[in-house]
Amino acid sequence: MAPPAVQTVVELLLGGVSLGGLYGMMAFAFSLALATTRILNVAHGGFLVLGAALAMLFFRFLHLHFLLGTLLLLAIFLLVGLLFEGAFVRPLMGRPPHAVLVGSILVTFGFALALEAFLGFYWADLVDPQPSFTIPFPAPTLQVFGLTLSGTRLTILAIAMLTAGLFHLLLTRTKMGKAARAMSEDHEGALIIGINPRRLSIRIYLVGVVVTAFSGILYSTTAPLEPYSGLPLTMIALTIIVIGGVGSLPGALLGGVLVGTAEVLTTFLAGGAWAPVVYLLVFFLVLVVRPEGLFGVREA
Amino acid sequence: MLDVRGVSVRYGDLQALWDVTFAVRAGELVAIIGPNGAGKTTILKTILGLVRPAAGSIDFRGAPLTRYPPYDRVARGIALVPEGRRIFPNMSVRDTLELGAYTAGRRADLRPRVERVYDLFPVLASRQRQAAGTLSGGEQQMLAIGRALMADPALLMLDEPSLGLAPVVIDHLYDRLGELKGRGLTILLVEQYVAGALELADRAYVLETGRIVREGAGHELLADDYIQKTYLAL
Amino acid sequence: MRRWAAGGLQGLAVAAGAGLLLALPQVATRDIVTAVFFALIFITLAVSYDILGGFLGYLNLGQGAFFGLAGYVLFILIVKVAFLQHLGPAGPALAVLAAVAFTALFARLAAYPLFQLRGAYFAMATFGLMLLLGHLITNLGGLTGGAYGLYIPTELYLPLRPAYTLALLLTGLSVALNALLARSRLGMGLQAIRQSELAAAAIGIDLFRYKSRALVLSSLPSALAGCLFALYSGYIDVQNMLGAEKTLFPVIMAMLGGSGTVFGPVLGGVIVRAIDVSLKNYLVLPVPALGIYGLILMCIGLFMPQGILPFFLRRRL
Ligand SMILES: Nc1ncnc2c1ncn2[C@@H]1O[C@H](COP(=O)(O)OP(=O)(O)OP(=O)(O)O)[C@@H](O)[C@H]1O
Ligand SMILES: [Mg+2]
Repeated sequence: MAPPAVQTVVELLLGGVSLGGLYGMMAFAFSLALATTRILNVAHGGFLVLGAALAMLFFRFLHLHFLLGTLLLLAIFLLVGLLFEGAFVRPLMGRPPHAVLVGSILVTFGFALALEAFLGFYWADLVDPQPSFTIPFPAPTLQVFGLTLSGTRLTILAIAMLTAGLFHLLLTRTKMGKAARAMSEDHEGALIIGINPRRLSIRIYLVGVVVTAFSGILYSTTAPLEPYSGLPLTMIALTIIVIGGVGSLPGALLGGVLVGTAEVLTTFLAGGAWAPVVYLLVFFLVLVVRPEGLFGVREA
Repeated sequence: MLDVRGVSVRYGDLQALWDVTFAVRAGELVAIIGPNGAGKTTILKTILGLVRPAAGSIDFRGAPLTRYPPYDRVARGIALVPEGRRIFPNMSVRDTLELGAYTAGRRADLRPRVERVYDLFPVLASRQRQAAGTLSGGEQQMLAIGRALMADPALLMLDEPSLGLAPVVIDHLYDRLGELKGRGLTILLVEQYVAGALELADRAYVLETGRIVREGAGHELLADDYIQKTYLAL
Repeated sequence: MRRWAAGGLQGLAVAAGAGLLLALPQVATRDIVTAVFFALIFITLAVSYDILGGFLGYLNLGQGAFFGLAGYVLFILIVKVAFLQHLGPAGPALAVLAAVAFTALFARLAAYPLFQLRGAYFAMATFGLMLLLGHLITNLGGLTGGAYGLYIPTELYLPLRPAYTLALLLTGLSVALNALLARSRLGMGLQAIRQSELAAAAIGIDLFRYKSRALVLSSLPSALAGCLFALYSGYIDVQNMLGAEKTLFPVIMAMLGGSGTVFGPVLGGVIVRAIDVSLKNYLVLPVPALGIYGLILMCIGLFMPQGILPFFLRRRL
């Protein structure tokens, strides 16, 4: 047995890093869409909530088989990505810059609110009067050097690392990934070499919504998500890319781990109510202290 | 090969091109020269589809282009080396070149194309893994040309390739352009480096405040009084 | 000549409207006066929102922060600073002054991080500011009452009649402020920045100074509206002072009516309040109101990005 203090510290670190990895992967999905389409999707956090809600519905209420349910979820998330991109992102892309900004904020903010409201309302009506999405995942704990490690958190960490690896391969090895990098580095340059911005944006949203919704499911294995968690999660994603830079994968992971660890430590030391205060303060502090370090963030 | 007829372009209230008509025939090198703000870049952007004309038509290899977005035009064989190069600073030289063949489809075609670009600009071969943003200005211009050539275009358009480069480097670049022309590539060259461009060009057009004011064979224009006074400061 | 006539007509219409609104408490039921009072509060928010949203072209999703902050500072002063309660009406008046000043100072300080950003990032940051305030107020229960909210003694409540008159005055002043701004150096500067920050900087406009002045100016009417609202209600909590609709309504109202025009936000305000009142009282739909507003926002963004008023004005030209 390790001394209780060591056990606590290790638990906190594992909690922080696994939450951070999860934040990192959902933030990078947000960041990639922002860098390539230049549309800030305020409804991003809503996709985590949607993922958790659907997974809970499928697995806890409808008792679907794990594989069947997962495939069904995948299909639904792909469809959501396709529809969201087609209905809200694509119509805005051709407009002049200021109109893109106004339009995208109105549309995605409106969608986020509508999603929050409808999800909460109909869930309360049809499923459970207290809408709260959580999928307990009873992974066995692991004993290492006398330390007890949460199997759930280790699983989350492993999945996050795997996703980061896949993202890395996507960006460096595939045509789509290289096109996305080109698009985020020089928009017009990318158009000039014949990249089709619409096809790229659809693909980015397909990948992005799937990754985001599944990270919502992962999140809900350790803590519940509520219908109104969506907008704060978008703020978390934004904080992370303000720290790490738009379109940067290492930046998103680093920012994710930073914010995740800060959240876990704050919750331990001061209670969960202070966790959002901490990441929001970090957000504003980074803006004041090193505005020049925010590569790309000043443009929109 | 390229037929531009009666093209007018507006940016809001400002009209940048007025009824511009010109043609580029297969195998020709055509130059467009003119002062700052004449609308040279606008012409190239309109041909590629980055800017929509208010009037006029553009035909390429006998078919109208006007309805197609830029990526379809690139796929049809038009490549642009843009003003200011617009390379992707964090991307390696090799990746940049491969992206140049984005519309080409088959991966198998990439290797020989990259080799051909390296033959033309050997310095790029030695910088394969280097980030494009760390190249010198001349090397970046070569990379931009190489990137355009990777699409294996039928028409290569260049927008002021001499911009901001030392005379020696410009000479080198122009030698390479001559080589490309010698291989039968059709080229539309926009320049403010009038002497060099006219020397190389089969034919040339002079663009001033959005209108074509003169045209002729390259050597004819070189000898033209007006050109000599206005552009060559002789 | 025709412009003159049109200007005169517009002036006449405004005067007639103002007269009608002033006389309203004499002729209308209490319910109607209350409804118009709330409408005026929100219209003030929308009009002051538009200083940034319309003139500068920066979307402030946290206009409600000024509203809520001022309300809280006001109540904390009244509740915690005992002698203010013994000054009669001067007590709350002093507290209102202090609350508005504090809010303006807050706006000035918020300018530092906020104007590091542009575009969509700026909009999200302002939303984050609102979230931050909400969490702080909830967590600092000793000062703010936390989840329980704050009450003031009933004798300090502001009755409907004076509250209504003050709200009308405030809305009028807020509209006048925007109209004056449209002709002032500051207003022109803001519009220049909206057109192109680069060009504005090139002709010597100090971007940060102009932007932060606009932010402070836009915080003043909103702060006053928050104070009025709080004094009339007598009770505040995070939901009614910093809830989602305090952030949402100004944006929807200004956008719907026409951002960047003096009367656009007013028109939008009337429309949105009419929708809101009918949603809550008359139309019993099996859908949540927040969802409807979300859908309205989406529709404006997709189909009518310039708003109703400019849409028709442009038609006529
Ligand atoms: N995106 C744009 N919006 C508004 N006006 C533009 C835009 N692009 C170009 N213009 C204007 O159109 C005119 C022609 O510009 P263009 O860039 O085509 O000139 P150019 O001949 O390429 O000049 P240079 O030799 O300096 O590159 C200029 O007056 C320019 O200010
Ligand atoms: Mg040019």
